[in-house]
Amino acid sequence: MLPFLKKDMTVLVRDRTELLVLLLMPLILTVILGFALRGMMAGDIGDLDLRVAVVMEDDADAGVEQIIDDLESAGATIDRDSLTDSLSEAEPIQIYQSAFESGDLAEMLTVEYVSKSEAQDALEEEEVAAVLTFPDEFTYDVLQKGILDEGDGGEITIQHGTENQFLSTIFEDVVVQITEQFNMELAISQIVGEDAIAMMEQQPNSNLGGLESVTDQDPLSSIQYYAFGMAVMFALYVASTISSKAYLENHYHVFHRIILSGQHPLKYLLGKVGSTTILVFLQMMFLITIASTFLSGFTIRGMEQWAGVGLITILFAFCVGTIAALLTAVSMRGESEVISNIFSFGIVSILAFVGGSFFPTSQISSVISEIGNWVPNGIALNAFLQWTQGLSLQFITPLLWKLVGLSVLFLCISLLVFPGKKVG
Amino acid sequence: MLEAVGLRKVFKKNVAVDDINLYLEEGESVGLLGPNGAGKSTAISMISTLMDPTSGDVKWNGENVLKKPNKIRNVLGVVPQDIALYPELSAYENLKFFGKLYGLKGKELELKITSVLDIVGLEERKNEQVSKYSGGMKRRINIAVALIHDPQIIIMDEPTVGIDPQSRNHILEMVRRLNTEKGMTVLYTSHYMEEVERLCDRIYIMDHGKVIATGTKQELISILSSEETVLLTLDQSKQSFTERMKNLDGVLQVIENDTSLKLIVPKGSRLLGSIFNIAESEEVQIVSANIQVPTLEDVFLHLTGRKLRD
Repeated sequence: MLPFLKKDMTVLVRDRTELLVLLLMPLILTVILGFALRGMMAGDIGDLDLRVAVVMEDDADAGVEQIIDDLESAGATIDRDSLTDSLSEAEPIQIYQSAFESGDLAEMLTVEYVSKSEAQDALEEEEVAAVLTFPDEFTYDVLQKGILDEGDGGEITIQHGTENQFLSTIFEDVVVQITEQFNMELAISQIVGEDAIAMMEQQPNSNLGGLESVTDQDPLSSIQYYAFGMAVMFALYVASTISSKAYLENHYHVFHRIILSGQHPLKYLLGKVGSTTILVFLQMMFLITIASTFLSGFTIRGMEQWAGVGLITILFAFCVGTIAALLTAVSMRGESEVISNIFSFGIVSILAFVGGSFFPTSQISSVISEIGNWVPNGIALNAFLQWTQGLSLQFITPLLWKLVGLSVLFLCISLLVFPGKKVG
Repeated sequence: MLEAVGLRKVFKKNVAVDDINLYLEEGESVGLLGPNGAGKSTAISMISTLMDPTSGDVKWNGENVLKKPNKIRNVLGVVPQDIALYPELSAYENLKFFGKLYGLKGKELELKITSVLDIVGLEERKNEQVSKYSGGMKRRINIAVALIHDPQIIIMDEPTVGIDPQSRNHILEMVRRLNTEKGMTVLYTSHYMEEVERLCDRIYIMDHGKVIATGTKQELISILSSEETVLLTLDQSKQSFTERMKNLDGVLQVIENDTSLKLIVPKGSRLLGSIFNIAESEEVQIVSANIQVPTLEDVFLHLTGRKLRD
């Protein structure tokens, strides 16, 4: 089988145009899509420099005192000092401040506490992207609604600048997220009813919102996403290229010569699997290595992660190899190049779409996303992303088994379809 | 030695090869002559075990090889009509690849590559990619690959199609030397009558899937031993003159080609006087008149009623 492997690889390497498409196109697309759609992934937010002004019109301590007075007036038996300490530590404003100063958010967010007029000046001068105002009696209104279920609650305002709307929108999203988290916790407290105060005393420092990573790694960047997305997509083109060349081998009777040499036809077919596997492996490792070396935002950490990437690549490359065998078998059976062309010009794009190479399909449809979990490129993309996000082998093992299963399926079908010795 | 018995191939309702019988003795050079679409390529595909016949047998030294094709494949060198090579690879790389498939390796493989490159005269350009070769060079390396394993029989399917006269002559001379000097058995298919005449000891003439005549060149020409050809070149083509030639007593067949007419007449006919008289009355001037001995082309015309390259 070695002569077949060597021959297929030499033939492809000598085809400069094909080689450029398979190696350079994914890199170019990774850079274009990675930068054009920057901000789509959580990991890209870390690169932002978001400056905002906060206007504090509220006197939080006065608000705490006032709510305790209300509780006493209502006849509640409380330890005033203890409750004052607890509520002071859990003041709504402090929840926001803590969130702003938490790890990921602190890296991108610069908060300036200023007066109302200074905030307006800063906004007009575009020194800040937005102004967040905590109004007078904000703390009291929030606690009154949260503890006594009275009033309309507190209301904060965000004033957007005319420029940097993208940044101010992100800031608003962050504030909304913190607020929703806070409201949810208050709602839980109300359900618990009389234990609300006790809960607040026990858990004054609840972790409210913020941007959290699922793992202990940096969040995914768009460059990283598209580097893998384009790599798994363009790997599929190797299958159609190999099968197109197989069609030509049959059409020009080169395959006859191979048969006449006494070689078993299946060696030829398995040669296609082998050569495609090697070519896809080399192609993907080239792309991943180039991306990790030259593109900021693409990181693979340590030998263990590289080994995992290598394992996923090998299994995916083998799966693409079996696709090449299937396309070869069908095109030789039908004595037509149509199947390779359909695959190259249509099916690859569809697989890339449902597999998430263009964008995460979970954002548009759960059905498409589910289908994407069963196509080879979608499975491989998920495995790459999960592994480089720091998930353990246990999480990606089912994905790897899926790739193996699909490979066996494609190989079995191609063996059934392959016409064997009598071709043409 | 190699024998095709009652070979028949039907594609859907189209009978491509219809019950042909053919044999090759060791060291013979046999031609398979016929126009395009006669069924020659289908016949040799079956003989070389690449295509199953609808019925019939292929025998090698008396043994049926259709069920055990590897018994004969190793002794066959097949040169397809197409350039069955990898254009991205050099001549040397193509030869090395196919040589390895035949189990050759190391020094033996290198010697064989050198030997066949010498036969086809491409030793000096062996490292160039085949895609950069001329049509004639591609044809030559196409033959070289079929020789890499030293086959006993070489089957060539129109190996000179679409190349210049010089390359064609080179290939014909090469085939002749393979047969006469190396004792290789040759089955040569072509629709070029002169190639088959030049190279082959025996000839099979095929048309519409059937072998319509077989024998040595002399045996085939003797089919027309009672006839001769009168070739007229006219100053102009005139339909009434042609019609009168067809109706002239003694003329068996008239073939028109622009301003020339080929008349098949019984040997020894004294028709020239009549022909000139008709020409005068039709106001057609005869520029030249030649009486020719029959050729294979004439035989083919006689047998099929049409020219070989129709």
